[in-house]
Amino acid sequence: MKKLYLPLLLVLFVVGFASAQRTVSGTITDTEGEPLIGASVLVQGTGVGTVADFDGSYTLEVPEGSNVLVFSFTGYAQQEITLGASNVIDITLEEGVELGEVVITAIGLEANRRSLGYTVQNVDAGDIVASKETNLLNALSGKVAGVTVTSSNGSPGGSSSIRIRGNTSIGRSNSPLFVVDGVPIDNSEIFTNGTSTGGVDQSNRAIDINPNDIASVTVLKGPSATALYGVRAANGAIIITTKAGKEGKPQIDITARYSVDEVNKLPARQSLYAQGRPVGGVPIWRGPETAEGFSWGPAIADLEFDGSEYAYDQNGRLVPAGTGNGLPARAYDPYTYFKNGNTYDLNASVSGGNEFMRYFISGGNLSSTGTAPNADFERTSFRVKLDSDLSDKLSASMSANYINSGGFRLQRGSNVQGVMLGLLRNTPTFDIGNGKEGQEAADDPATYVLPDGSQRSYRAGVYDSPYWVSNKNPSTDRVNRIIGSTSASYKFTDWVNLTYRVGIDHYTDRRNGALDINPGRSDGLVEQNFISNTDISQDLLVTVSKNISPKIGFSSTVGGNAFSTDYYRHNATGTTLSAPNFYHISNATDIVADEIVNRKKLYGVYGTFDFNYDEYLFLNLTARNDWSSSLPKDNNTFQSYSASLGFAFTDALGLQNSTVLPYGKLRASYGVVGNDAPIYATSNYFGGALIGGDGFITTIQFPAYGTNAFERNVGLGNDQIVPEKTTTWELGGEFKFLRGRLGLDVTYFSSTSEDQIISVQLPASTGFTSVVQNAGKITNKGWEIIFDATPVVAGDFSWDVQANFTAIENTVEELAEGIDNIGLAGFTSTQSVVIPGQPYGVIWGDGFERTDNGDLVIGADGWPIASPDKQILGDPNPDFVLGIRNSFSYKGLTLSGLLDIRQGGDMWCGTCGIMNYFGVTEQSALERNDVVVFDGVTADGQVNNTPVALADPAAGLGAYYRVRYGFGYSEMEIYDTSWLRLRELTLSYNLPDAVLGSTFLKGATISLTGRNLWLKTDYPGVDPETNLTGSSNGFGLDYFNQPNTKSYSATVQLTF
Amino acid sequence: MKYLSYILIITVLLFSACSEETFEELNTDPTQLSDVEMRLILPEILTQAAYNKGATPGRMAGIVMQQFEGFDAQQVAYTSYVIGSDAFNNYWNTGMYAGLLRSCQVLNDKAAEEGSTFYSGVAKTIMASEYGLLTSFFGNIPFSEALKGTENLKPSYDTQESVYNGVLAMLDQAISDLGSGTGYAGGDLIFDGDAAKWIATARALKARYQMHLQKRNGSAASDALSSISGAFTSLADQPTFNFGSAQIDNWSLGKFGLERPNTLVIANTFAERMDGDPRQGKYMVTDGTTWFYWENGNAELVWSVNNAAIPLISYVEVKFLEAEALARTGSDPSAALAEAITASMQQVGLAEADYADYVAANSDVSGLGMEEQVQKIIEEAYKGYYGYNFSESWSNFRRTGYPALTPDPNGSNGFNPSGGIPKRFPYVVGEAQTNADNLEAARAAQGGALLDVPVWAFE
Repeated sequence: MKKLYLPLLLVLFVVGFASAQRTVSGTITDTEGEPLIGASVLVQGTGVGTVADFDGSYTLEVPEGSNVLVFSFTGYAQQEITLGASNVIDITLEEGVELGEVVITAIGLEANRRSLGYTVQNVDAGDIVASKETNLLNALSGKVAGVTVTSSNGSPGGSSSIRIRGNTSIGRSNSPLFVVDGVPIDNSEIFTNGTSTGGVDQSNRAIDINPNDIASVTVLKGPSATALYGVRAANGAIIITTKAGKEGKPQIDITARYSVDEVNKLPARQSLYAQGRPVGGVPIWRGPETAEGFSWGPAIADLEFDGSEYAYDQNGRLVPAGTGNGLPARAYDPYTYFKNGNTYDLNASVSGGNEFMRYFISGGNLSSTGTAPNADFERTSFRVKLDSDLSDKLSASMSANYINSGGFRLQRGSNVQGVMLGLLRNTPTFDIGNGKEGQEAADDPATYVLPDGSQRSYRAGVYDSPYWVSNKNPSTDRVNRIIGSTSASYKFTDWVNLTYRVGIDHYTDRRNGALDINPGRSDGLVEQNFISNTDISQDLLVTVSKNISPKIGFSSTVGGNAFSTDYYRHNATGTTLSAPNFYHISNATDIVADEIVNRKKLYGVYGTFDFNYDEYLFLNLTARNDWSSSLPKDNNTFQSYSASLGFAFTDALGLQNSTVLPYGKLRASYGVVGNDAPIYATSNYFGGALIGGDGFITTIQFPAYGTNAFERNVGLGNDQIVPEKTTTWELGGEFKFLRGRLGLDVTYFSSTSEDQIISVQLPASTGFTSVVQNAGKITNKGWEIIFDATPVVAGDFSWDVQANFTAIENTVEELAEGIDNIGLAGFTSTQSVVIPGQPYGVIWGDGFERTDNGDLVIGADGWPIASPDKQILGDPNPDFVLGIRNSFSYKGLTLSGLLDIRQGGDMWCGTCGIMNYFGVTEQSALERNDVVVFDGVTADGQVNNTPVALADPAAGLGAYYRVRYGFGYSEMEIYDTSWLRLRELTLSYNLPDAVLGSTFLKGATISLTGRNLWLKTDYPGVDPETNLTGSSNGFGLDYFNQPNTKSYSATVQLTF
Repeated sequence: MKYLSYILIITVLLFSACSEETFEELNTDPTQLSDVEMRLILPEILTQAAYNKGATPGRMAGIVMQQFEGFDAQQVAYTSYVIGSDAFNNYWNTGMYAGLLRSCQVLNDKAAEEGSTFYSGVAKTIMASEYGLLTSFFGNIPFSEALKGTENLKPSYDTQESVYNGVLAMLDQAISDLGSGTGYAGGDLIFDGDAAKWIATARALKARYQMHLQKRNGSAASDALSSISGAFTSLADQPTFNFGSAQIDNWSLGKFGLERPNTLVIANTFAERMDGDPRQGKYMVTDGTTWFYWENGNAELVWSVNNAAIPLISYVEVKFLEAEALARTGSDPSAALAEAITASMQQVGLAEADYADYVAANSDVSGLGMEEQVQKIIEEAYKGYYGYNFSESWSNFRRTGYPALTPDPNGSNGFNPSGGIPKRFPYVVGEAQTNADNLEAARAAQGGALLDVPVWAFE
């Protein structure tokens, strides 16, 4: 290997000395000699290229060192020409054959797209990088039919979840398998400092993949595509292929980006009423020192300052107008807390090779700051990929990827130590910034600490000031990760090939979280977590490829896989801190330590068998058998299998040269994939005793009182579990019309997931609260439509459209006998649940009593009546999602926009409910003096006509509409999240050869990108693309979630 | 196809090479135990029993009985009786059935297997006591079919009458077990294995639940007096649990003060009632407008400090029970009442000089009729139970109507249509989700189970 280093080092120093170049010209025509207007010519491996003009002619400056031109045109086969002595290259492109696109399928096999009987969809590197997303998942949003991506919030390094063809499993993860260069990698989101509903949002680990390293992403959607992966790809698979070197002189690419982020949407607040509540029938101002939570005080216009010495406001206390110093009271805007975040992203790579060895080496650094002061995220990655042909028969490749990532995260969600809780509840008459804004306010302790050392916040430290959160409740994480793989292939004959591949994904994550001493309120806490996860996957496979007869082709791959995962977490939580501002475990007085060890092994044997008849009829059969350590000993094996058929009828009928429909293929497939059980679910255990049973306060954890104690776990073990099974059939077709200018890919699928392994809630009166059992059946049916078109090609101008449409109907068909409801995530008052006959994840919570025909039942006092029973309140599943990309290019200039449309889907705006309760929403000010008659009927069936005042001080706070039903009433806060958003808008410019000619650059591109620039939605909270519970199975919940962002970025990309 | 057999052979070798542990070993959690000793089960039971007194049921009874009132958030809703099926879900699930009661059952079963009458006696004592509280809160509850795991995944609800009978029978069994009291090996955080003291505790508990049945059983008072004759006779001998002073082992009411500040405060009417009472400064502190039950670091507030000493049943209660039983059986309760009030004063750390006048002025009821005597006793118990025994103030109120309280003016709602002071706690959402048929049957058997429907014993 030593030999390798020298050329690589040389490469790094020799950059850019060559600048001589040649001019190549010619014409591009079809087989009939007609000019192909708009056909493109690219210098391979560079951004240098041009398009053919009206007579099909082109002229191109080819940089020195490059000698391969790539000719392509929609609907025609691509051709690569190696330059010889001549500078004139006339080329004839053949129709149709371009459809032989190579895609990566399960276990890293390559297949010709036309031979597949199921749908797969590719997203190429350009589309991923162009979205300027830190998190790879977000870069897929709107680009793949059948795929939905939800980012939980806009914090730097925030998590995202991805679903392929909807949710299929109640109890297990619904996240697809991620595979990088044949190696499955971990994409879990591990909550430590807090829970899924409160605490700190962590990254999902796919964030460690640098989008700049990706050559392409293939999405395998259904069991037919993924059966070879078996259980691990029960929810589909995201197959990532990274960039590899190509034979040729070293090429260096450098990309630099700068982005600015700002908050894109926040709930509307009132600025008319002061902090306070009615006392003795009259709203009075009660200042922060009273810890008053409500803003149901007097009108701000009726108040003035008294000029007294007052720690919470330099102008003094508030008194009725006319009794103070004449300085009118005012409302402050707490949203000045948010600042602009920014991101620097720098990437460099060098690639090249000779006939024996190709290399690709890259490094990247991304550094982001958040829209909330002090929040940040950083990712540094290095990658090396080597491919070598050691002999005619033996080839080997190896790749290694090191990532260091992590950041400073802020508390969020249901959590009095969170940013949004203290910020949104803040009363209009308290200036949280103390005269300053954003980072400047955050950097001045006087903003959030009073001279006596206690906290400066609108409730005197009951809820933390967001500025306190930014400084005093730190949570950091630092991941060190290595993803490496090695494979070797030996070609026995030209039709038998043996491959061995081993991949390791190992990371450690060191996390430190703390809540500083909040004098008079809390004695502080330090939480340390050390996490280590190691996934090892080995495959040994043999591929046979031989035609059975001249017309019947056959190929097959048979192999075995061994997978093991080993997760370890050590936690130490220390309470009662001794010194402030010191966030180390040694500062704690009481320390509790814990550890978690999760291990699993999975063995699989698999085979895939492909037959084709005359290159137009394709049959694929696959089978896999898995053995899993998490299943009961006597029943630990299960099977996945599939069959698919593809029929290219245009080829069968000899229509390839038709201009109307040169290509058409029909597909049909059927597949079954299993899913195993959670670990340790087969037996009962005794764990450390916890004293709890009160949702408002913390537990007592043994050891305590000088002894240890154990209790039988509340989860009942089950050694009778059988594997889950998802069966899918799909029908579809791909069509190319008008010489390929118009394309349509339609898929209908229907999947049924049975024997769902669910942690089923038991009546606690059994002595257990849950049991893992097979209990449930969910169906997903849906349409996936991909449409692409090139409506206009005129000279140098072209217009391309691509649209992805997804509509999924999801139904929970049945749950186990006697179970009518299983909670997925949320709070006892409002949850995302599964209920038979309903879509997955419906929102369920407190609602009003209604008559059989849906009218509200109104009490004799004129108020709607809260039902003692919980109800289904909304369905968070969208009716459809549609992503439409329009690209316009003229010479080197490209304008591209991705419009994202989501129709339907409800969300519980818990944030809105609590803000209404406290009287800080705009709504609560607008309706404050209203007297209304609620639509509905009284108990005797009469139409209600009793008026009620929504906020009558004389009746007391407990009688207010927004207070009387409790702490944010679920039914009042269910909203439709339909949206229309401009997810991406990019303007990019490839510098022409005329400019580059005199430099050492082979290519240069400058682009300006806007993300989320425009959003239209009726949802009253933050951007409705949000999810409190991160990548968990529950969704449709918004409770003091961090806001989302929009961003503007500029990128320069240079090729040497 | 010969390569296929090669690959299978190689695959098998590959797997066996990397598999030093069997699947079964791998799927065994190394961080947990499959069985534990009894001495390691008991501490949880005792701690949870004490913790519950300041947790949801304690605080809610305090709100309903107008000793507390909500100042913010959920507690405001509770104050106007918006008490839904969420409110007690955690308490019912992990506090009781799959918590304390589960561990009592595990301990009792283990003790029976291993022949330790000490552990079975203590397990039964606590289990009976907690079932008694549970039925007083909810009426009909799962009892005879409860805690059987896979044997019965849908336990039905027993009538309150049969639960109370079961509780009293279980206490008798406990007393019998503790009579031999063998096999103690540690874990008794309250009496360190002193079986006699547990017997005295069980007898005191019997008296409590016998008096719960006073409206249903003509001999309740004399039964109670007979039980009290074997109960403990001093504050020193009552079963007291001592909490720690840190946020990880502190008393639940102290936790609530620290972790949910300013959401719950002392009700003004209770503060007024305590004006001039020597205990007022031990119960509450004011900023001039609002009375607080908790203040960070204020060691005077004995019922909200972190390291509170919480009796599972107090000598104060024994004496109040005795006073009421004496009154109801036609004897003069004055001496017992004086002793009850005195014990209450001593329990919060007051000296005789502080309370002698108050006791003298409030304990002589010899000249009153039976009903007036009972009223005085229950009103004094209302003050004497504050902070650690909210549930019994509420039981007393539901049984006797004392002290007279005015319902919250906004107290009529879907959970409490008639708007009066709640007569029971609502069943929990977890049972509605998982045991709906049995729950519905229980509701039907009691003529409904909204907050304004009385439970059988107190009807």
